[in-house]
Amino acid sequence: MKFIQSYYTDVGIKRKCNQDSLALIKADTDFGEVLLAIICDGMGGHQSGELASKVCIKNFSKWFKTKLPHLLYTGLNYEWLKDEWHDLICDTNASLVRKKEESGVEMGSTATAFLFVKGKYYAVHVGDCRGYEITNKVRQITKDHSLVALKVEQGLLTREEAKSDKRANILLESIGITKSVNMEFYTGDIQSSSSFLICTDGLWHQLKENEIERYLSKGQITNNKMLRMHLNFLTETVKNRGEKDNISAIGVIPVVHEEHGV
Amino acid sequence: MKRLKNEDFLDGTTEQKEDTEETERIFVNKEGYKFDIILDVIQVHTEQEISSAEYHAVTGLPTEKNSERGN
Repeated sequence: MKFIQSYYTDVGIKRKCNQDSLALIKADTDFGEVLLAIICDGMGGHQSGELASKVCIKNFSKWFKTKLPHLLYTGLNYEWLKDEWHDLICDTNASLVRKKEESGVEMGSTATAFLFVKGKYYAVHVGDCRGYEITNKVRQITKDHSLVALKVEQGLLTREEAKSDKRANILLESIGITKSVNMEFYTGDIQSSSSFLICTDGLWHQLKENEIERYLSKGQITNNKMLRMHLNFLTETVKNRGEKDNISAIGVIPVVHEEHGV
Repeated sequence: MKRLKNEDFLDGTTEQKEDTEETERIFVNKEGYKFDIILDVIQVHTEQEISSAEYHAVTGLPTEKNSERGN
């Protein structure tokens, strides 16, 4: 399996700094290409949000380069991966909490990471970034860890009401804020028609699912440059609609090889 | 194998290049595994670092400096 991949990140129209961090790391292996795509949305003043999201990104990057090769070649399985990612996120959380206690500066980050390998995707998620799978429809893979998402789940708000609710920025889970952190894991087969979008709330707040489908469907994009242009276009679209947050997005399109399937 | 740089990845576009931190390639295949890093884009927006000792405590992995193995 090979991948088309690209990203776009923008400070947005109001904020002075971009607290989002992201990574796209790809390796060529005996099992084909293996791709890690991760976005973290930092929070906290005095550059602490940038630092928190950076620490998450660097820890995942290091894990990919040093621990994944062994896992991959000794028979990668979902349970091992969940254990690895659980420990990685808990340790990162503990580090950021320690840093906060030492410095007195609040800092935290969301994290949504996708690993694409051997025809499957694996994801770990904390917070309100989102992962979408786009086929002939758009499917939100991740569940928002936010107060308004909980209210929607409980039937107390509609999805439309949630978008304009003043509590939309209240997170129920994040890395670095409290001493424990809960995360969710997802996995699935990559379909031949699949493409993927991973993005911060700055992008999805002002975007409709049919717009995601229109600009990020697999048939629309044939190379990295085109994918980046589409992500850029979607970013400019939400800025024009008044989005005030930082905006970051990663697109991933698995490329089908007829001789090997997906 | 040619390792893509950010410039290759962006297909000629250079915006945000100054914010992009590209880490050194780390050779991880000492056990004979084929695992060639062919794309390595890390986009962060601060130069602040967490200390090496703290980093080691977090990841249980070698610090940045110690992890850069030779060819």
